[in-house]
Amino acid sequence: MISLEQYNEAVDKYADGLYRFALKMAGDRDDAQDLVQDAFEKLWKNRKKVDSQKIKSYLFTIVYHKFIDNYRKKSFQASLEETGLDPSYTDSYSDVMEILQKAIDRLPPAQKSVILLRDWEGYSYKEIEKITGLNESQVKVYIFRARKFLREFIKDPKILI
Amino acid sequence: MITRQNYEIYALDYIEGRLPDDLKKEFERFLNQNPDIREEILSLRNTIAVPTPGDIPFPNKNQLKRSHIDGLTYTEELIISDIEGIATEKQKKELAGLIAHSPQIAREYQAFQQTRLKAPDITYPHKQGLKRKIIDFPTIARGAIAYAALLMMFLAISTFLNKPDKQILTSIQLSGHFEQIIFLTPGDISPFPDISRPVVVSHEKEKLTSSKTEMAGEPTIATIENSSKDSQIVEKIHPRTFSVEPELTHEIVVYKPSQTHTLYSTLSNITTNTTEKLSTWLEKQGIRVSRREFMIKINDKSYGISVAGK
Repeated sequence: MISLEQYNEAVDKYADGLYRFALKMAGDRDDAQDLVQDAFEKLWKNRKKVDSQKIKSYLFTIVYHKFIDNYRKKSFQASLEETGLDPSYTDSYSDVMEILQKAIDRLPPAQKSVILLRDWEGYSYKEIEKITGLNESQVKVYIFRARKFLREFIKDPKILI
Repeated sequence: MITRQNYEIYALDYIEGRLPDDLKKEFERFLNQNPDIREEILSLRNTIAVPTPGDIPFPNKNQLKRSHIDGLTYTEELIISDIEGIATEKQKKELAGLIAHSPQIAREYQAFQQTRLKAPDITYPHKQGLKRKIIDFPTIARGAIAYAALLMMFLAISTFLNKPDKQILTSIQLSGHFEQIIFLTPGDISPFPDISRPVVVSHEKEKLTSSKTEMAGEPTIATIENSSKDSQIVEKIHPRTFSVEPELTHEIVVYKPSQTHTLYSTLSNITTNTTEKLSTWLEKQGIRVSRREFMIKINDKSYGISVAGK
C-alpha cells in the first residue's frame, strides 16, 4: 500500500533515474517520457497492491517490460536503428565515457537493460532478476558479455562498425 | 622393524620425504646406528632430483582453463567477477597472482574497470506533472483554469487550421478513465469562485457529441449531447474557439478528481506542425507542456501534450 505522500516522494526520487534508463533503452525522448508516465500511472492505479518498499523496482519492472513489449512489436525498431553508431563519429571520440555511451547502444536490448540497471541504478543480480524476469545466471551471463563487449569497444571502437 | 636386510624398502621413500612420521623416526634411528648405510643414503639423496611444487610451472596455465560463459576467457571471467564483486576468495587470490605476474593481465584488468558505466546527469523534465493531489475545491479551480487554457488552445488551433492545405479539426476526443466528469454548462452554479462559467457535474464516464452553433458577437454555444445518459449538457465556449471547425465531437471528460488538473484529450486530423506550434504556444502561455497527457491524433498517429495549470 502506497500513500499519496509516498507516491509523490517516489516521483522525486525515481523519475530521473527511470527516465534516463528509459531514454537509453528507447533512444527517443518522447518514447522515454511515455514509458515513465505509464510506469507512474500504473503505480498510482495499483498503489493499494504495491509494497511501499518495492516502489523503485516496481517502476523499473514496468518500464523494462513495456520497452521489451514495444521492442518486440518492432515499433521502436526504427528509432533503435537511428541510435546506431555513426561511422563518421568514431574518429572524434573524446573519452572513454563517450565511447561507452555509443557502445551501449550497440548492445542487444537484454544486455543493455541489465548493464544499465546494474551500473546506473546499482541493482543486485537478484533485483535485476526480479525486474527483468530473467534467471540469475542469465543476468550474470548478460552482464559479463556486455562488459566483454564494452571492453572490446574501448580497445578499438572502429572494429565494431 | 628396519634391519640391514630390509632397509632398502624404506630408503627411497625416506629420501623423497614420503615416509610416515613413525617410520621416519625409526629409519633415522636405524641410520644413526649404521653410519655406513647413513653415508650411502646421504650420497644417494644428492643424486636424486626431488621436484618441489612451483619449480617448473606451466606457463599461461590459466589460458588452458575454460570460462563458464561462452565467448569469455577464464581470465576475463575472473576479472569481471572481481569487478562485479562476486569473485570468491580463491578467485580473488588467483587473479591477484595473475595480475602480479602479467603486465598484460594487469592492463586488461584496468581496461575492464573502465566498462563500469556512470549514469549521465539526466532529469525527468515534467516531474511535477506526475504528482498527485487530493481533489478539493481550489484544486478543481486549478483544473478549471487548465480547462480554460485548453479552450484557449482550441482558439490557437483555429489559427493554424486556416492553411492552404485545409487541415481541418474535425473532432476532439477527451479520453481516459475518470471518476468524475465536470462540464461547463449554462444554468448551473459554478463551483469555481474565480470562474464565471457554470459547471455541471456528472459521475459517469461519458461519450458526448457536440454540434456547434455560432452567433455573431455572442458567445458561441456548443451543444454537447450526452450520448449515454444525461439528456443534454450545454457548454458555453469562447466565440472564436470553434469558429473554423465545421463539426466538433467531444468524447468525455475533464479530469480525474484524484489527479488535479490534468486534462486528457485527443484531437484528430491536425498536422504535426500544428502540434509543435501548439506546444510552443502553450509554453508561451506559461503552461508546462509535455507529451502524453494531452494526446493529439493525426492520421492515426498519436502525439501528446500535457496541459498543466500555470
